[in-house]
Amino acid sequence: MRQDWEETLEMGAFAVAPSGLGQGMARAGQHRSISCRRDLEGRRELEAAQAGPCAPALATDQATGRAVLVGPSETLLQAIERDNPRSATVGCRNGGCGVCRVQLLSGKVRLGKMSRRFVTVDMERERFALACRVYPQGDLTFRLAPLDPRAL
Amino acid sequence: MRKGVIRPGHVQLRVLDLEPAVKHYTELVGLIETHRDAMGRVYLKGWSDTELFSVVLREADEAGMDCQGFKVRDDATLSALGRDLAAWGTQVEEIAPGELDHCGRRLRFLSPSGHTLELYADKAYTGRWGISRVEPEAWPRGLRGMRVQRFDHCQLHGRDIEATRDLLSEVLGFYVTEHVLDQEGGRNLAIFMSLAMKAHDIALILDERHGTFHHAAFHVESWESLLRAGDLIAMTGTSLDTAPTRHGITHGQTTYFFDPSGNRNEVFAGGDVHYPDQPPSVWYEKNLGKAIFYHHQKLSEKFMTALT
Repeated sequence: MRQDWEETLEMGAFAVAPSGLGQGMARAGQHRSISCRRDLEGRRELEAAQAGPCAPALATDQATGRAVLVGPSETLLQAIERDNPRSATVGCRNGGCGVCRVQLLSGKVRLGKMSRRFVTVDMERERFALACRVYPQGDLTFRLAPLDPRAL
Repeated sequence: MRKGVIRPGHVQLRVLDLEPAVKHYTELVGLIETHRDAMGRVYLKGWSDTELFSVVLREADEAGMDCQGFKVRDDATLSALGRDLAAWGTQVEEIAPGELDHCGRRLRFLSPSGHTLELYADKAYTGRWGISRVEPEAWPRGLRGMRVQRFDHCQLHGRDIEATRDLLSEVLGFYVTEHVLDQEGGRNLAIFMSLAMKAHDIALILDERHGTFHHAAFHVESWESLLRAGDLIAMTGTSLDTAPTRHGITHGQTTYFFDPSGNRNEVFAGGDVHYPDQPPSVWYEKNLGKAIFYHHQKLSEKFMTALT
């Protein structure tokens, strides 16, 4: 059972970012970590050279096209929170509350333990995960799949 | 205490990984590990808690609260309250002595807010940790982290908090110290209840996410202790919810953070004293921000959404 948590999810090919990209990037200019995709990719190459085999990954929100850079030992949620410290996606950060639930659409990840209340075994097969427990192993796309705060 | 229920006695929390949780509650929060049972559960207490344990950690595949227990005066009172709960229309289950080590039989029931609550009369009495009953020193040396004194209360979310209030007050003798109404004479959005003179022994919040857990609170001595708690949260990289501030409700001083499984903890100091003859204080929804966080007067998103 324990090894289920450690398994690597093999996902489909990296999806092309949707047309919302430009809009996301316009907002991204406000944040020091991201200016445009080219900068991100440039920085990623630089960090990859410094980090050796553990390269940072580009994680793209499919709905907005906005991308964040996830460092080699970081979780997807850490990158989301650095990009927007007031993000409504941030809850307990520790796998318990389900506020940061996402569905992974493409890319390879490692997962930590997540509360089964919010990601059941069946949901995990459908690539739902809590962003605070997602360690990207390469570029990925995701969509937010938060709990409806009024329903549980 | 008018029905013989004395005080909060324990809370059993579910954690995703046991050892990181034990490290969090002992080295950071400052609880003391007192026992482990055959099921692998870990028993802890604050130094001024007088029984063997007030917190139990159980490894499980989801976070949250298993149950909160309240201490009653004696076994005869426990039996009488069991009958009263049944007469009120609540299903009562008797948990055999020893299901929790060093604890006598417990009477367990489901609150209308969807939470498992229980009553017990007997638990190993070990006294305050590290100091004598005779001419006790001010505090024991060798405490760690935030040096919390005791388990204080839980905040629970669910539907039917007014029915829960009625059950707790009519059958178990809690009284309302403060509440939040949506408007004059309106619906209760939050109800704070006490068994004795503390600002609250249980907090109930109206929420469609029925039967959920918001936080377990631990008491510390002073604002200075809260500043130290905030320092420790920062220096350990612990997941912070709310930095040290003051509540409007209870006027207590507070900071919130998360354990390694996402259960919220509060460290709490001060708080109003309520004698049972005092009518409840009232807050209105339109000023909810100030009611919860008295200084910045705003509720953060995660304070409202992150529940286990």
